[in-house]
Parts: sequence; C-alpha cells; structure tokens
Amino acid sequence: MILKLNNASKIVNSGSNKIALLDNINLNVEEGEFISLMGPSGSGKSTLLNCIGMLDNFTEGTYAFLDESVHTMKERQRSKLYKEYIGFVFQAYHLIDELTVYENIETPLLYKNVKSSERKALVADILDRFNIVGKKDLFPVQLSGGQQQLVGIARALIGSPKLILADEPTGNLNSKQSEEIMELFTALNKEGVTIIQATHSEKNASYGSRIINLLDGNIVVE
Amino acid sequence: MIRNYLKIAWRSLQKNKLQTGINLLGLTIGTVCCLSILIYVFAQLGYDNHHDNADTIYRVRTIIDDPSTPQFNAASSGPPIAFAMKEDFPEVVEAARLVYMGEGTEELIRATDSNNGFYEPRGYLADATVFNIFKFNFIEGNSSNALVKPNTVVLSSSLAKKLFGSVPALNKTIISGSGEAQLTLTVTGVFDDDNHEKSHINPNYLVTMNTPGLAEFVRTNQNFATQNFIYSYVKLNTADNETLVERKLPAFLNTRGAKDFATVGFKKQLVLQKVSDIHLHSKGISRQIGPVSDISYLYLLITLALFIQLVACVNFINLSTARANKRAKEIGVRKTIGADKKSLIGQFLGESVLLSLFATLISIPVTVLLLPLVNQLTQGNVNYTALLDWRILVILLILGVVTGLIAGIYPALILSSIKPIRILKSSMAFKPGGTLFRKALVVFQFIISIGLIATVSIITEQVRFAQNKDMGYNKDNLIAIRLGTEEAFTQYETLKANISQISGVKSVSGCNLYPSQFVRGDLGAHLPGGDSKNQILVKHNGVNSDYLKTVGTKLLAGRELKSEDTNQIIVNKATLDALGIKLENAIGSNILSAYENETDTYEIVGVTENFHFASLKEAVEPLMMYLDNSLEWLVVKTETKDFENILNQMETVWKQTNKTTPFVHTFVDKETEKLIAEEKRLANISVVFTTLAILISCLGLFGLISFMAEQKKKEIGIRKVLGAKVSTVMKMLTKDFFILLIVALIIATPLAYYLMDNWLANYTYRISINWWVFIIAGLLTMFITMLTVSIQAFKASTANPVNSLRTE
Repeated sequence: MILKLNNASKIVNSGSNKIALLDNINLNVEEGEFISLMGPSGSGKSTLLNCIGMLDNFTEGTYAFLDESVHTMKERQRSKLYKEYIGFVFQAYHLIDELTVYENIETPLLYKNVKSSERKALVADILDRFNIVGKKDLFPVQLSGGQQQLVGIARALIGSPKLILADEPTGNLNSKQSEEIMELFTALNKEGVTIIQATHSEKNASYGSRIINLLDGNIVVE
Repeated sequence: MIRNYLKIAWRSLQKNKLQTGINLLGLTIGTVCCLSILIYVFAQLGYDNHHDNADTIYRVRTIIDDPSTPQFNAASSGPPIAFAMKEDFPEVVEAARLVYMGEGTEELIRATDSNNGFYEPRGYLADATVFNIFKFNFIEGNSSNALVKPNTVVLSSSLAKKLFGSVPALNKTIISGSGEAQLTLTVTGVFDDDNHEKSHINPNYLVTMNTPGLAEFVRTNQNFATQNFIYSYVKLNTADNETLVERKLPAFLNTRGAKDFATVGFKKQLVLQKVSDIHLHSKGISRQIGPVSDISYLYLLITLALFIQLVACVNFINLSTARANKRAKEIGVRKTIGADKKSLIGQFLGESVLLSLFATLISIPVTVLLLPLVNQLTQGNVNYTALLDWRILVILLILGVVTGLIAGIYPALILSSIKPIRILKSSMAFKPGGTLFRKALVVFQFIISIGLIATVSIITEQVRFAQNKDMGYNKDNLIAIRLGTEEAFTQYETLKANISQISGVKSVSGCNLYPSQFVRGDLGAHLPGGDSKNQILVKHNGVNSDYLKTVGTKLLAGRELKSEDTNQIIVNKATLDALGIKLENAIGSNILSAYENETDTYEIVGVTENFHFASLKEAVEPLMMYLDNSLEWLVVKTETKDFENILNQMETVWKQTNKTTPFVHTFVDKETEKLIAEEKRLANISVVFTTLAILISCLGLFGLISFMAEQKKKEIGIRKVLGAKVSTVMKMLTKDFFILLIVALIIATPLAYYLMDNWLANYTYRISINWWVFIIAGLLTMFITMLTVSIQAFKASTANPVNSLRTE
C-alpha cells in the first residue's frame, strides 16, 4: 500500500461560505498502480493531486503515505517525505528557463547532495533512455512542447521516486506527442513506478489500470 | 552546488537586463563613493606613527580657562616648560621645542653664493633634541648632532635641491632673513622628504634654537605663564605614565611659575596630547601647526558614502521583491524537485553577492579614473598606489560581501518562502509580499534625497552668505606684495611712491598682516586708572598711512595714521565696547598696556567699524593698529582688473630697488576665499553625494514603475477598453509615489533642520534656515520623481490595450 486516504476533505472559506473542494475522499493506492483521475474542470482533480503530493493539505480526515500518517506531520517532515518519494509532472512542464536540459534534470540530484560522478552517470543514463542526448545543452525555450515534457518527466524520474503525480501532463501537447508521453508512462509503470495522473482525455485515461471519476469534490464511480 | 548557484545567478542577471543594469549601476556608484572615501580616510590615518616608540611621544599644550581672559585652548605652551619637565620628572626621558615660523611671515632664505631667495613655508626653530624624539630619514649628515652647533640648519631634500641643485648641501651655508636679523646658517643635514612618513610637523627646514634673535629669546625666557607660542614635545619612558605625569603637572606649574602667575593674575593648565592623535583628534584646539583634519569630518564622509551604498541596496531590495512573482515559478519548481528554504536563500544571496562583488570589481578602475576629481573635492593628494594597500582591498572585499548580503537577505527571505502550490494553480495571481516594506524603503530613499537637497542648499547658502558678506574691507582688486626683507621694507616709501605712479593703481599702503591673514599677536590692555590685572586682550597689527583707505575699511571717527605718529593707534569698535569707551569720547582717549614691568600708553586717533579680519566662524575681536615701519606687506588697490599689465610694471619698479628680494604677490580676494575653503569643500562634496543619491534613487524608481506598469498591464488594458483616459491611468500609476513623497518630506524636514542648525551653530555669522528650503527640496524631488515615473507611466498608459489583453 503506497497511500491510503480516509474521509479526506479539503474545505476552504470563501467569504462567509465554506466550500468543500474535496469531500470525504476514501482512496487506497497499491504500489505499481497507474491511476487516472477524471472529471470536469473544478471537480477537484488538481486539488487532490496537490494534497496527495503534500504541496497542499487536507483539512479533515487522515492520509497515510507508506504507512506514515501525513496529516499529523510537521511541514518540514512532509516536505522531506515528498522530496524523497514523489516526482511531479506539470501540464506547463515548469522547467527552469535559465537552465539547460542537462542542468534541469541534474538539479534534483544537487538538492539531494549526490556526488558529482554519480550525478553525471544518472543524468547520462536518463538522457540516453529518453533519447534526448542531443538536446542536453539546449534551453527549454529551444524545445518543442513534447520535448519539454520529456525533460519534465526525466527530471521527475531522476530521483527514483516511488510515485509520479502528473497533472494534465499532455494538456498542452498535440495528439501524437500525447501518445508518446502516455506510452512512456506505461513503460515506467511496468518497471514498477506508481503513477497518478489527472486528465480530461478518455483516451489518455485508458492507459491507466484504474480510473477514478471526480465531481464536485466527490468520487463518483470507482 | 555553488557552481550551480553561480551559473543560475549569472544567467538570471543576464536575463533581467534592466534590473541588473540598474542594480549594477547603483551598486557601482555606491562602491566608488565608499572606495574614494576609504582612500581619503586612509590617507588621514597613521600620522606620526613612524617615530620610535611613537606612543610615548606627547605634545604639551595649554588651556587657560579663566574668567579674566578669553578662553585659550591651544596646541602650544610656554618656552621653559618642556625642559623643566625633563628636569623635574624622571618619567620624561627627552624634551624638545619647536617654534613655527608661520605662513606669510617666514624669513627669506637663499644660498650664500646666490641672489635667488625664496620664502619657504614650514620652517621651524628647533632644539637639537628634536631628532631624539621624531624620526627623520637623513640622507646627508647625522641626526644625532645636526642642530647642536650654533647657526646650523637641516634642510629637506626638496629644499636642498631647490637651493643647491644636485650638489650635496652638507656644510654649505645659507642666508636667512635680512638686516639685523640676518643669519648665516651651515647645513648640517638633509633629510628625505620625497617619501616622508605622515607627520603633523612635516618640516621644510629646521634651524637650531642655538641662534640669536627669536631663538635666543625662547632659549632664555623663563616665564611659565606667558609666551605660549612654543610647541613643546616630551618623550616618556613608557606610555603608561601619561596620567601620572599629567597629574603632577599642576603642582609642577605652581612651584616653577608661582611668581609668573601672580603677575599675570590668571591660572593655566598643561595637558599632554599624544602626537599620533594630533592630526585627527584636535577639535577645538587652536594654534595648530598647519592644517589638521578632524575625525568627525571623516565619520561624516564615511556616513555619506555608506548612505549612497544603502540607497543602492534599497534599489536592489525593491526591484527584487517587486519582481518576486517573476521568479515564483522557478522557486516553486525548485521546491517541488527538492530544494529546501536554506538552499534557496543561499541561491538568492549568491546572486546579490555576485552582483555586489561585480560592482566592487568595476569600482576599482572607475575610482582610479576619478581620483583627480576626488582629490579636488577633498583637497587630498592621493594617487592610485593608495589602492594597493592590502587593508583597503580587504575592507573593499568585506564591503562587497556585506553589501550583497544586506541587499539580498530580505528578497532572499521573501522569495524562498513562496509556497510551491502557488505556481501550480496557474490561475492564481501571485501577490508579492512586503508591499509595505517596499513603500518604507521608497520613503527612505525620498528622505535621503530631500534631506540632502535641503542640506546642500543650506550649506551653499551659507557659503554664498560668507562670500557676499560685507567683510568690512574691500577685497576686490586688492593685491598684497611681500616686503619680507630689510632691503625691501627700508625702501617702502620709494616703492610706495613709484607704485602709486603706475596707471591703474588707486592707492598703496603697507601692513604686517593683510586682511584675512591670521592675527596671532595680542597684548593686554586696560583703561588709565584701571587694574592691570583686569585687562582685555587686544590683537594688534602694524600698518602704515593710507591703510584703511587702501583696504576700504570705514572710519567711524578720527583719522588714519600718519608717518609722524608714534604711540597713536586706530582701534576697532569692538575694542571700545570691550573697554567701555563711548564712540564720541574715543578720540584722544588713552589705553594702557602693561608687560613685565613696563607700561605703554597708546592714544586712540581713529575708530573703525568691526571689519572681519578673521573667518566668519569667529566674532570680531578687539583689534588695534599701530604705525610700523618694518612692514611685511605692501597692499595695492587697483582700479582695473588688468592685473597682468600692472603686475609687470610693479615688478619692474620692484627690481629697481631690490636685488635679492623676490617679487612675490597674492590677491587678497583669493586669500579671503581660503577662509571659507572648508565650507566650499563641504558644499561641493554634498552636491556630488546628493546628485548621486538622487540619481540612484531615480534609477530605482524607474525600475519600480516599469515593473508596476508591467504588472498592471492587464488592469490598464481593461480600464482603457472601458474608456479611461491616458491621464487617469497616469494618475493611477503615480499617485502612490506622491503620497510616499509627502510622508518622506514630513520626516526629512525636522531631521535636516536639526542637523543643519547644529552645523550653522559653528558660525558666529550665519544664515537662518528658511522653511521654504524644505518645500523646494520636496518640490525638486517630486519634479525629478515625476519626470522619472511619468516616462514609464506614459508608455504604459498609451499602449494599445488590445496587445495587453490578447496575451492573457
């Protein structure tokens, strides 16, 4: 069991009203699963991903990640946990514009204080595997969207996370690029990486092993 | 990791060219200011540190704080004191006296076999023991016996070269003075003054005390109370005994000088001053040898330079925090991929320190280029080699790093605390924090600008006041010609007659001291029948007939002196007031002056208004003018400003009667100008600092408004679509600055008023501060601000809204 949500809710104040962005979510995710979150805009997909990713907090209920209860943790412990085990992939790629492809991928390792020689080997490996060795000295603006997302995924993977959270990873890509990315996810999943993606596209969702539909902060069908 | 920081710092600096440019320019200007001031300050440090056991060398100086006499707080003391101390105190291991020949009163000197004479500044009479106390680097002769024999002299290497060329000067003779006071002196030593260490004495030549005339008077005088014009130095066995010796001084004076003090009727006090303290810690001490600086002046300069640097730091802080959301994405991403707060703070500090160090690096060559300007401003004389002092470089490096840290720490804290969730919700506009803080910083910059503008205008006004003040004499077209020798002043009448013939010359007279020259001499004076112990001090100056007419001082009563006068004098109004004589009774009144056991009687034949014979810092003191025939200066009033022609003719006339005395002249208005040199210097420095502070502040405002306009691009676009006019949008963008400016004006006014009122308190004759100075400073700042801000605001408000809305 990689994570377990029990009656997890996210309630925010909007003026004098209380709005439940997430309402009593119960969810168990096993290691090796590939889950697709679906639902219309505002249904809570992103909020759920952010809360699972510990960038945001549930306001009620319990959240256990690798059998540790996240909701009782301090901010510092939480961020230590997600840095260790979770990789993020964003719709807008969010590469650092001032760094080259190589440097973007290398940065997470720097923050983990990985030795220089080891860093080189790891980055070279992943560049090779993603077929972007030739692009390593380019800056993000010099790449196509699909290539940028490849770099984004490579960066998310470099720290060998157990879980990848992808928020509309193909939202800005054309269908051919989307297909490539989805196939990459599938391959990664086969290697044992757990993936949770939020998506609008039925087609993309179908790559997953399980689909969860959200509406107004509730899980509708499982 | 560090490499990664530097890399991203470098690229991010490159990317935001406007911001980087503004910050770099500001920080460079600030650092150049700091570096220039640093060089100047270092040039003022380390005076008199090079002597052996410098910390045991003291100057013995005098304070007379007695209700019966004017306050006297001087660098000098009486003739017998130094050696009496050596006799009486086992702690005093050596003593020496110097008599300073003064400026404008020094004797003419020449090599015996030459007719080329020079008035050489910085001449001293000195005891032979002076070389046991102060260290000089002798290149000819031997310091241990140089001034022992009678009529010997030690020259600086530059003077030796001037008198004797490249031939060794040792054992050659020079002639000093003229007439009865003429001496033939043998050169017994030459010391190197090309690479001399910094000293308050800095002599050009030293004549042994073992000569007739003034030196003999000093040698034989045993009065412990009066004649306090000697510079006395003692060397103690250890610096620890300073307080011990100082404690014994009152008893020493009482035993040694009981009789002398009984005669004069006042008490005095002797104080030790470390020679290494003289240059910077002599505030309030009069009768210095040559100019001294003041540590508080150095502090003022350092403060000003640091303010400039701070204003530049404020720009950095403002622009960095204002642009925080520009970097929010990068920060958010970094946090999600593993950065913690500490490493982000490190990264941003790295950026600011890198920028600051870069500015530091640029500042070095810039400062070298600007050194002549700096020297001109500070009246200093430093060259670029001063920069190579490792201490300056270390301080500069520290300054660079600290500046980077100060500028960077707040933005680093703000930026690193951005939560990553913010960037993931792309729809959520990130509001940069610290708006209030940023406003406070803008107010700070305005305060500095307004304060400095007000300060500059007040200083400049005081300078102008001093320049235009009716000094009581007419300094324009007034030439002073040095008589200096017996050869010249015995020919006074001939010279006067001949020069009067030259067309364009209006009037000619003579004096010992022309207006603006420092009047040292004074005597005690009292009314007939009054008590000689209850006397006033009257300064005196020897003049000749037509003097008042020539210098343009008005007589309130009576007449000028005539050549047949003997004990007749002219006094100023202050003398009458001090003695309690009414103006209408003044003419024909007598004044008595007692010295030793004699009493002289003077008859007042003229009364002048209180003309300012000294600087405006001092109140006009009592002054008497008597008829003197051995005059130091000719004063010539001309009708035209065609000085070249008149001077040529005067030189021709001069050479008819003078064989060895050179024709040396000066313009009195230029000398008067020197009295306010310090104020002018301060005014010039303030103008430079003010301009720089305003320039940097404007750069910052320019950056800030550019950013604000960019941030509000969408709002402006929407407003314009809804029908807002350009002026409305301009108002929206600029009104915040206007409010901040008013706040700054309210804070700056009392601050600047207080500081400047304190400064003006130094002057007896001063302007009063006008309230409108602050209004003008505020308006000027507003004008400059609005000009800066409007350019960008106008650009933003005239932009086509379609463009800004489409990009969303």
